[in-house]
Amino acid sequence: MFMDDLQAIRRLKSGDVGGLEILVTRYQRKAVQTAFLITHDEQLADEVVQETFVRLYQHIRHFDEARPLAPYLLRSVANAALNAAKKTRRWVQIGAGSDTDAETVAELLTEATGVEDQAEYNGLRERIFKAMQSLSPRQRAVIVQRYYLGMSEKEMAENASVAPGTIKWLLNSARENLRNLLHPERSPE
Amino acid sequence: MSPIRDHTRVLDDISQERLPHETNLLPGILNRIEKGSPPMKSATQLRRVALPLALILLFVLFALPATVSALKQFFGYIPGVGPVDATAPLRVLAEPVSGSRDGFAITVESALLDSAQTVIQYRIAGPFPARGEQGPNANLCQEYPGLRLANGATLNITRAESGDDASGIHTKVVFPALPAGQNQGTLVLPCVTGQLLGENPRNWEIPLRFAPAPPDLPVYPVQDLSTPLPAGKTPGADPFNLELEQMAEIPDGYYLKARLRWTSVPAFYGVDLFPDAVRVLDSAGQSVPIGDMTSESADGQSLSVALKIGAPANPGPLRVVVDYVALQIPPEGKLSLDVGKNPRPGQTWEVNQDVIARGYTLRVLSAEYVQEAPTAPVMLMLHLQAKPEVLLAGFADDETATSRPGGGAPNSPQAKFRSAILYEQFPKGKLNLTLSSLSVRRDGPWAVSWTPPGVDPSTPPRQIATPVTDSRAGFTLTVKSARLEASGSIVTYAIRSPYPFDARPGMATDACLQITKLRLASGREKISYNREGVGDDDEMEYTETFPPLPPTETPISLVISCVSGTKIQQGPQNWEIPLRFVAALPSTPTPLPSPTPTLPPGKACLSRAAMETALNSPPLPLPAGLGGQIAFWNANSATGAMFISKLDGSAPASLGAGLFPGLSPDGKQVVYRGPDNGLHVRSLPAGTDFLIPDTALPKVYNNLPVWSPDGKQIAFSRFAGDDSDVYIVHADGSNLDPVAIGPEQQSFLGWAADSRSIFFSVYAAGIHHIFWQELQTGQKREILVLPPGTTLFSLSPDGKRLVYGNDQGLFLTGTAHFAPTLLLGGALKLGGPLLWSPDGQWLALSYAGDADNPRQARLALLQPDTCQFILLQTPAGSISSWSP
Repeated sequence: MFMDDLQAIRRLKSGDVGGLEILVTRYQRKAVQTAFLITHDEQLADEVVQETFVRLYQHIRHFDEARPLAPYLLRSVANAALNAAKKTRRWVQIGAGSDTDAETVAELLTEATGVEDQAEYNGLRERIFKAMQSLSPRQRAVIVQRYYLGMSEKEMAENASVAPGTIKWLLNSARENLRNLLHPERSPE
Repeated sequence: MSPIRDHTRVLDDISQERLPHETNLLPGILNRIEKGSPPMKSATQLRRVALPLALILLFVLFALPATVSALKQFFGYIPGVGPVDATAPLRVLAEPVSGSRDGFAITVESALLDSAQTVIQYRIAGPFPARGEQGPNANLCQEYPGLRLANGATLNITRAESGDDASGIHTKVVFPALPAGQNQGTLVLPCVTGQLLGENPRNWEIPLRFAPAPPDLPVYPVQDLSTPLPAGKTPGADPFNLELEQMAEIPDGYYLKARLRWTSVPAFYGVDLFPDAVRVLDSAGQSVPIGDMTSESADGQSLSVALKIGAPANPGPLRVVVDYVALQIPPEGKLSLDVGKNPRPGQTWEVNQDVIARGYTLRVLSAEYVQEAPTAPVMLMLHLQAKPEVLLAGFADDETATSRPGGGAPNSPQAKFRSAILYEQFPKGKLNLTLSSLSVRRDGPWAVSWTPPGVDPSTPPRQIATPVTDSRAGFTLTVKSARLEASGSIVTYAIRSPYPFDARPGMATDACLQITKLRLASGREKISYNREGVGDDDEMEYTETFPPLPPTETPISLVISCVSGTKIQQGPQNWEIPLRFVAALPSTPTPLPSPTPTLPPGKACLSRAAMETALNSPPLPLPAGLGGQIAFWNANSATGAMFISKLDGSAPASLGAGLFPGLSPDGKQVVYRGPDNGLHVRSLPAGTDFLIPDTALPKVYNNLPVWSPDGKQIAFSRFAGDDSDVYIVHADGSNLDPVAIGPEQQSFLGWAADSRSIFFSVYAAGIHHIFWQELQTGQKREILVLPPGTTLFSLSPDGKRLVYGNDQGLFLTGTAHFAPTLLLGGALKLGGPLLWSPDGQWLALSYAGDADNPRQARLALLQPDTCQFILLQTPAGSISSWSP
């Protein structure tokens, strides 16, 4: 984590909202781009990012300072964007027989990384965007996580199921205690 | 074609060209914060600080902050599940589900679905790799179960807890609520959370079906409680305050929800509660067992604690006590160390640097390069040292983006205080670390009292009309007695088995775990919370204690899940024996004869070897807290001689001629039998002495006078002719009255703690019968019958335990039900008089040498619970009184 992020987080933790300003200024653009690539809706992307920063503010007291903020923030944005996009149901699933799927988008993306001609690159970008438009939000989120946020497949799997930030341990197990409580003493010893 | 840009750049360009050039979301964000949620408050969120405990503790509860629902009002409590919203139809697992894989077996045991949550409990048994308790255990499975729905969506857990026993790893996971129409799901286990990877089964999918809950699913109503602000509490003096919010009465105790509130103080930004900080005490100060405890922080200014507690041993108010909390204080501190250019796993660097944060000093002793296995993450383990007030510390490597916290262990006597940083690749050269978290201890205690919904003490007792016998699968069970009283419900039954009971030592994994219930007419059940038994290979007699029942609730049967001493699925299962209760006789019920225990040798609390060790050891100091003043006497002369001293023999003083000196509760007066056989009261400070009128009579002997706990009365046994009766007189010598008289031999045993009733014995036909009698009404009740041959006995100050001796030895039993345990065999020459310490924890008795070497009696002390034995060098004589 950059020291500036850490300082900003600690300012936030101390109740100084100025810390939030630093973080918003630093990450809002990338966050909106992330959300837009998943929602394909500029206004919705703005809302998603605003809400994500509000949640960050609300939860900052519990934020683990040892974690890098940017990946956490952008993954949160991606998750929130996916949830928001699913709720709007404005996407259209291409029916069976369509040759456009996430793999096709991935291939187009890879092709675009090596195109030198600007006109050809412009055309490919348009095709990629339209191809993404035909994907479900979940598929778009996969593309964004993998190719825009640079997450590994393992990280994506983890991100889909867990956010191991808070772990809490207890001494007691009800079952163990019940056993202790009820275990009879047969011997009058 | 070589890439000239990466994928990120392509997508960056795509989004940039479709978005405005400027993005300024700050005003909108601030506006949302102002209008929306209060500042710095989160949704229900579990604490994070206990993460380091993960490395040393067995049980886990984890949570996902983003998926926890908002606070909700719950209306019911289901044991094993917790609070539920019972205002809408509940669903449960349609049928238990089992599966096996690679030597591992999973059983989904239950599920409970309400409008807010889906709670699933499962057990996994199998060859999990062993975990070292002190090892860093970095290569644990850190993935969590999911619940995949029919539509492909997967719910993430919001909370989970796990523990293990001999039958496997038990896990309870909580997911968000399922829509009403969704009655299927697949439990997806990426691996077994918290266990070492290795042979850990991966990607296990268990299909589940849910169905409407049966109408008899027990849901116990949750009642809101209110806790008034303690009188005289000064705002700001102590930022913490403990309150009780909710309770539910459950079969084997209570569910309680307490809340610790605090006012924000800049010195800390978070508060955590460790399980060992919470205690529940009953009215006698005895610990009430806590069966389950969860705590969570709903906002930045309070912490809720949900407790499932057992039934208190003593009626009356309970106290929930929080002894201390862990304050998360803003950490400020840095640490630099150089791990060199070529660090190796196992390498250790001496650090010996102090990190000082907010006045707390943390000493970093050393750093260690740890990698448990080739596939495990690498970590830098910092070994720490601090004063006990520092509980937890975490370090971060801000300069290495791929680092993350790796846990650690708290500063406690049971663990090595340390903190770890995980790396993808172990760093090289100079490291600049920062103190990222610091928790310090803040001592309370904070306490709140609550009186459980009790049973009116005037509730008339009930008992079964006649003993009931039932047979099943070759077993015969006889309910000998069952008695419902305001203080509790006691059931005594005998079980005869067609084959010997399982006598394997220790905890057998395939042994029946017997649960005994009283099924009530209302459909509810009460679970026994105490069982004591005596018997032999194929017949056992048990006495079980259940919570008290109000007159509106009547048991209709005794239900035994399986017979203790048999194996799982062996013998009768869910054995239900119908019971019929009638009003108990108001007085002198005829109890069943108590069994005379026949005990094998070698099972005594105090063995001959321990006795000889004590005899041959130099004098030991008294254990801490054990002391007080004693009065004792000897009959070496015709008139006797009396003494007082401290328990350890110090400050001895002679009281002159007399017998049976009894100290008043304040230690300032002594009542005794004088040379005239009359009872005298002497003031120790003033030296004044007066004869209690009508006690010095020819051929009348007044024995063993005892002050009432309130110091207002004196009870004693009067022996005249061939008869003994119990008398009471006011401490000023007035109102001498007989209270227990008859042709049999009545002898005073002890006062009840409230000074309103007494215990005494009646010796008739060679048997001692123990009675309780209320002084004001004269109401009395026989509570115990001692075995034939009993020669001496003494009642504990709380009236709950009785020690008695016969030719077999010295025994201890409860007075609520007769279940003797052997303290010492008859061959050991220890005997009366027997006297309990004022706190009822120790027994004073006499040692008079052995048969070959008789000697003057010496005072000995025995702790009947721990069998600790102390032989005092002084004083010599027979003890007659022990005051605090």
